[in-house]
Amino acid sequence: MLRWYKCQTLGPENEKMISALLFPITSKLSIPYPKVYTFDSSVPIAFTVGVAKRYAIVLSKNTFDIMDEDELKMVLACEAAKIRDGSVPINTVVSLIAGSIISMSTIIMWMAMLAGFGQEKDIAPRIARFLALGLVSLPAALIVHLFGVNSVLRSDEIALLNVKNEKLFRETLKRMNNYIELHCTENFNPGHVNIFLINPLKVKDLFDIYSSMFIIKPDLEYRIKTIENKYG
Amino acid sequence: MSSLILHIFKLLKDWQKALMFSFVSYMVVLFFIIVAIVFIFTGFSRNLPLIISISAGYMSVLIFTLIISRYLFKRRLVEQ
Repeated sequence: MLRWYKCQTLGPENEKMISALLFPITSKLSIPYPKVYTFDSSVPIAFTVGVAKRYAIVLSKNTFDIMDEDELKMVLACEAAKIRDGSVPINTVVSLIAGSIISMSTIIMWMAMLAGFGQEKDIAPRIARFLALGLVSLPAALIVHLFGVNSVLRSDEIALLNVKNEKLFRETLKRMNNYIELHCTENFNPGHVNIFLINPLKVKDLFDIYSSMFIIKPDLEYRIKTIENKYG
Repeated sequence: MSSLILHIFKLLKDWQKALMFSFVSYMVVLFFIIVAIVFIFTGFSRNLPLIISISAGYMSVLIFTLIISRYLFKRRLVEQ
């Protein structure tokens, strides 16, 4: 997964800041200290991967540009909570398998382009990809639904018990979500939706319709309401 | 007629439309399987029992998968 997103290690400045924020969280939760990576993305987003007690928290470069220190701490707390919750290994494997299956549709689109059906934005390769997505989305979605663990509400609770700032939790997630809704320019692999902190998939047109089969993360409003009902 | 189809299409939820298009994609594959059989074994009516049995097997597996998917999606998917 780290190779998939071309993750890079942090620069010395960011590494110092992140370790100062993350170390108290991991010791409080009694979890192994995860490695932290960054990847290029147009939006602030984070995910955690790992198996066999070797975990990695991955933050997009945009997260460092947009979020202040408190918000970063909240994001890290949410990701560390997933490790504490124990859902990371299974979701990593599920995302890897489902994501690989979904990627086959891109291969088919490239084959259509190489066969002379036009460029990426032309209708013929897009229809070829749409049909291919129809074939691969169903088994990939079934894998996500049958084996993926949806522990968002549980990990939200663990994160909040750690940071103890409900307002910060609400504002951080809302800010990330708004930014994704307004500025997201890339197509995230639907098979990976389970590992992200915020759902990055949006159904904008008919060509995105298959993404709707993967949206199992509760809506942000629902997550906030659940937290408010418990701690508000 | 087309307005009725459009109306029904608009009533469907996104994941239901996705399942429908997925079904269409799998039907395209079945079409190519039948075409391949006709070309390889030369003739449609001569190979009708084979085509029917392959189609029936393929369709039953597909419909069974779609029913399971519908049940899972209805329970777990979040509507946007």
